[in-house]
Amino acid sequence: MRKTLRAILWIGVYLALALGPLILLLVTPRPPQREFWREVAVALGFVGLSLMGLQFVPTARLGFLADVFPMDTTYYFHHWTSVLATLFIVAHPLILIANNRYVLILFDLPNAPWRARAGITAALAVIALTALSVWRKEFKLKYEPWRFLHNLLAIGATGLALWHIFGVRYYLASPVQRALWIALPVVWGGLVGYVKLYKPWYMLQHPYRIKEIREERGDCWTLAVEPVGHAGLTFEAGQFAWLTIAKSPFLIREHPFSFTSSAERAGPLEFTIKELGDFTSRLKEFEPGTPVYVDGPYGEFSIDEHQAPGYVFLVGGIGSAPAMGMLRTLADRGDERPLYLFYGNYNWEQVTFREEIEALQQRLNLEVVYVLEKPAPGWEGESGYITADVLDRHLPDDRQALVYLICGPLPMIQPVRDALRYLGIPRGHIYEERYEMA
Amino acid sequence: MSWLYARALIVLTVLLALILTVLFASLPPV
Repeated sequence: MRKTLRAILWIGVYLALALGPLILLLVTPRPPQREFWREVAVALGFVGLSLMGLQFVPTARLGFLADVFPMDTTYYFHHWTSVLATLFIVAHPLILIANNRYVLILFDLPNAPWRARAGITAALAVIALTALSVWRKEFKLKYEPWRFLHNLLAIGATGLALWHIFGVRYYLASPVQRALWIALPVVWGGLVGYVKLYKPWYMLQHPYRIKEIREERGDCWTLAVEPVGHAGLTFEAGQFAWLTIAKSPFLIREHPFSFTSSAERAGPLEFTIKELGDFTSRLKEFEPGTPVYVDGPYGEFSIDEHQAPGYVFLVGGIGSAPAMGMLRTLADRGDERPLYLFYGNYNWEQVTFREEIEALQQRLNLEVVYVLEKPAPGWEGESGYITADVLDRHLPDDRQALVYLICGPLPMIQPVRDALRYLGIPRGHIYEERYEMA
Repeated sequence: MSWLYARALIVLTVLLALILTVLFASLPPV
């Protein structure tokens, strides 16, 4: 409940920051009113800019926001509010032109005043920014150059838009408005500075190093890191951290990984990582002693966030990583609650942690159901995918009371969630973590 | 579930922004 209240509070703050400039324009003295459509265009421009400024808030990297809003939801929100802000910003000049053709004279860039040049360039940069994000794959842009261009265009567009509104100066002639439009960029920039400068600096003061890298089944590697000259961090089983390996923490090259070690043990932090992308495939080449920077913990995908009489883990492939962290933690606590692990894999050979799960069954009240997509002849367990039928065969009668934690690739999550809903599991008992970016 | 809230917040932001825009354009200055 406290989390819901915090979410409502932050949504209120968001709306206040997004719409505040317009509300202030309504209630403070302003210059004489002009034509209806001209004012509509101006208002849309202001809202578009404040929405765009708020896009700088690095939600996923600010603990107080990341704890309340799941990362995939904030990305979704970022994506669609960007499209919205772009529509508002593009509508601003279009309505001005439709209202008065004479405005077109300002588009004669060689002769136009600087305030118009800045505004037009800002609008073009916003269009480019949004188009490159929506159609990144169509433009065949790789992630890292795209991210650089994305940041550059965002900062450029916002700077030019501020130049534009201060240059036009119609509403910003009011001291309240001027103060507001200085304060807002300070807040946006402050949050970015906190994440891009303060946090890396803090990580430099609190480094880790690779203790060991060991191979696991299913093309996975477990990375064990230990703190150097400090006490390290504590986390809740199921959470994740952003790792930067062998690079400066000021470079934006970190990747999110779930803790797979027990939250109850003081030893090295462990992360089990599957070879999927460029970065994860290079992982095995790092030597012990390599510096690592850990930013975390983050996330709310944890048994400790959702108290229940028992837990059901529904995982696919390396989605088993956070479940493994939670099972190890529960075993170290001597937890006796009933636990179920539905573990989807391609074949028996690729079942990461297989041997250790068997050992954990001796210490926990744990039932494990392996579901293999391509089982070898003679396999007597479940095959195919984790469906309602499979779940129905293994879950107990009091299944409604349990908490369900789903973790795996995107195409697995929705069908499993639907299967649980079909079996009558309440919505509020189902939590999920998407594994897309590893 | 959280997707639903995100969608709701986006719709709410648009509606409030449009209402305020029309108010701003039609009300005389204080």
